Amino acid sequence: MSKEEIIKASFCGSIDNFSLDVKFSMPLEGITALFGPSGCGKTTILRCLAGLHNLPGYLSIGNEVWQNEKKFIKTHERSVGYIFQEESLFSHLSVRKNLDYGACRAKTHHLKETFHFDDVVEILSIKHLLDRSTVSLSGGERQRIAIGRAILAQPKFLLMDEPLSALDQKSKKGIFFCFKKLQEEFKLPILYVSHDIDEITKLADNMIALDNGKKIAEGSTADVLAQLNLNASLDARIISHDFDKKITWVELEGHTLSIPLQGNTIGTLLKINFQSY
Amino acid sequence: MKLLIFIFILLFLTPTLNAKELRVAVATNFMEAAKEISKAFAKETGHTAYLSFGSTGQLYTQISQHAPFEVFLAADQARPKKTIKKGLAIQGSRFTYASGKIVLFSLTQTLINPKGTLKKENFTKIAIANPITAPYGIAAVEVMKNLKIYKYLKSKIVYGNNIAQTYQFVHTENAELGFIALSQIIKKSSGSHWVVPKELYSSIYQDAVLLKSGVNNPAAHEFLEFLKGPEARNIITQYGYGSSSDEKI
Amino acid sequence: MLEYANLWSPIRLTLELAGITTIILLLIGTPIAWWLSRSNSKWKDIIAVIVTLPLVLPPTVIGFYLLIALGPQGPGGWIASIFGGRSLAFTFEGLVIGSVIYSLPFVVQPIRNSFDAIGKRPLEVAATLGASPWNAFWTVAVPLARPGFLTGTILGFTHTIGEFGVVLMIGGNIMGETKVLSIAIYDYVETLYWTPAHILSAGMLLFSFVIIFSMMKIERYFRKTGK
Repeated sequence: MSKEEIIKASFCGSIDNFSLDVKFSMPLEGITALFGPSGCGKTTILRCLAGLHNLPGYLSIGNEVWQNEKKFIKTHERSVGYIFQEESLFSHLSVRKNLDYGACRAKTHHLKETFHFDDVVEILSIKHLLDRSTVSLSGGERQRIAIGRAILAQPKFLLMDEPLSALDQKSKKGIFFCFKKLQEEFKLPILYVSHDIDEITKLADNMIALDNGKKIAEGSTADVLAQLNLNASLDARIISHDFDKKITWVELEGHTLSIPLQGNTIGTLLKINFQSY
Repeated sequence: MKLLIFIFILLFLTPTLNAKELRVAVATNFMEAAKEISKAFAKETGHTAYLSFGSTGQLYTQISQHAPFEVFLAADQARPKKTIKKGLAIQGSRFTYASGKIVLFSLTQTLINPKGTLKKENFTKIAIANPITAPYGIAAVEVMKNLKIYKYLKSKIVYGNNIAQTYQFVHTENAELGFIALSQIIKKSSGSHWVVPKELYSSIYQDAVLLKSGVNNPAAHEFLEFLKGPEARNIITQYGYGSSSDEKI
Repeated sequence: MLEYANLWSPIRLTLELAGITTIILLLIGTPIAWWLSRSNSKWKDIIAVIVTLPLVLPPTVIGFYLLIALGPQGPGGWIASIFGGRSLAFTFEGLVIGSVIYSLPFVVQPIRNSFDAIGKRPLEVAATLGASPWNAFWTVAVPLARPGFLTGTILGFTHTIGEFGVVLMIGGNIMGETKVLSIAIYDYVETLYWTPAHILSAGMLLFSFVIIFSMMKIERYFRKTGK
């Protein structure tokens, strides 16, 4: 896999009264975000990439063509992992058997290195859950297992459909941490769907923006954000006020910052927007 | 003059004013004849007879459980006798209304010839009414035993719940032939049949009896009287039964 | 006392009939249930109604049409002729055909409902993990539909055990071949032999109670262990 390898995709058609018309490409490395408001077609695109929808179009992964006018490779023959937004573990199998499900159907001949069971389990911190049934797990645990299961199927890249949206803050932080490690350890390209700008800013190297079934921007995250006039924002907590100097001290990602005096009480969480010129 | 008119009207209206109903349990083989008889009965008396059909055994069971019948037209003598013995029917009301004739019948025109079909055994299934509940079934078994072929035919026998179902089996050709009542096919011209000679089976005396629940219903009494009368007997003979006058109780 | 000698034959015959019918229904009912659950064909509703018909039709109607269909005037006669016979009426095989039709919705409905309840997601997940549709059916759909299979099996079995109207129409009451339990009891009642009627009826009542009770227990066990 050379650094020049990319995924090229274009889909044009409609499903259930929703029309999609997009053409984009993304690199086969790093995390690419697919961004847009609800209902703009993000999930539809993921499903087309996975082969779960068959909209007329084109899809190639590096020099493998997965779809064109004459050809359509079915989902189970594509080496792609899919993390769904909600609950997707098999309730009739234990955690270990869930993880094995993809592993024993993996097509490993295209990869030089494969993802090993012990490594995956270690990085996602799910070792202690292996022999449990899926019934009493928390949302965060489920998603980590779902990610592990998808990786163990030895995919070429991962598709993630708002995997954190159903989770609480604490679980989100946990998985966030995993993502970074995943990237570093496994070098698995990820296409990450989200409508949350903050998530995207923290995670993605590249970004594709959509609206109403059409692509409106594509490129590195910083470029696209600027293009769309979208602000990155950060959380800051008020530490103290200095009424003489008319400033408020806030704590921001471990740093201390002074901002114009705010009327809120000490301890309040503020969102500060940063805009580029 | 006015009095005459009044009496005249009264006489005219009386049948309708007194129009009663009665419930009759009828053995299935007698079904068609019974329907004609009850029509004639209604015309003459204005009373309506509601007929229920079943195998004699079936009807007897229902009567013994106090089913609301007032008259019982059986296909044997044993069960009417039993109803009297058990106090379900009125002593002295029993009489033979018909004597049944059985035929061997097939839908196929050429299958049955008057002499030797049964012995040839060129069929797979022969239908008879269930002997446990239907007297015509008992007669069929008797015929086969008297012809000394019951042993060989036993494995080919299928049992109809009553004589009507037996006829159904033959009519749908699921059984190539069967023993049914002459009355069932006498007014039809299809198929082939052999009227079994009387000597081969004990006479099927069909007795009628007045049941306890009919004792206070004048219509029930009138029905039984009508059954003994000339019009009914004419119908009975038309349907191939021996009429009651030449049989003894 | 001769009556008692004949008690075992109807019992054995009935259990055989119910067993064979249930197996056949599981084999043909499962693909039908799956198709009804997943298909988008315009025929889907029509087929669903046809499958449900035996639920509402009087058994005598089914029996009547079967009598004609199984005989020389219908397809049954043709099938029978292959084996040297004339008609499938009055045969155990004819009863099996009748029972399969009679109990069809009792097996197909629960299985279809289970398939419906699974929804599309688990099978999409299986596909993304490399399972072909056939493989996904056996490793995901069938295990998840286990409650439906269990219910369908029990209902199909017990419903066939209680079958009466259809057998009355096409059975011919042949001991050892078509005289099933319900017919035997009917005969005993008809001829006022109430003791054997009591024995067989009470036995059936007890049997049905045990089956349904066990089914409840098994269902509860499955729910608790979450499998």
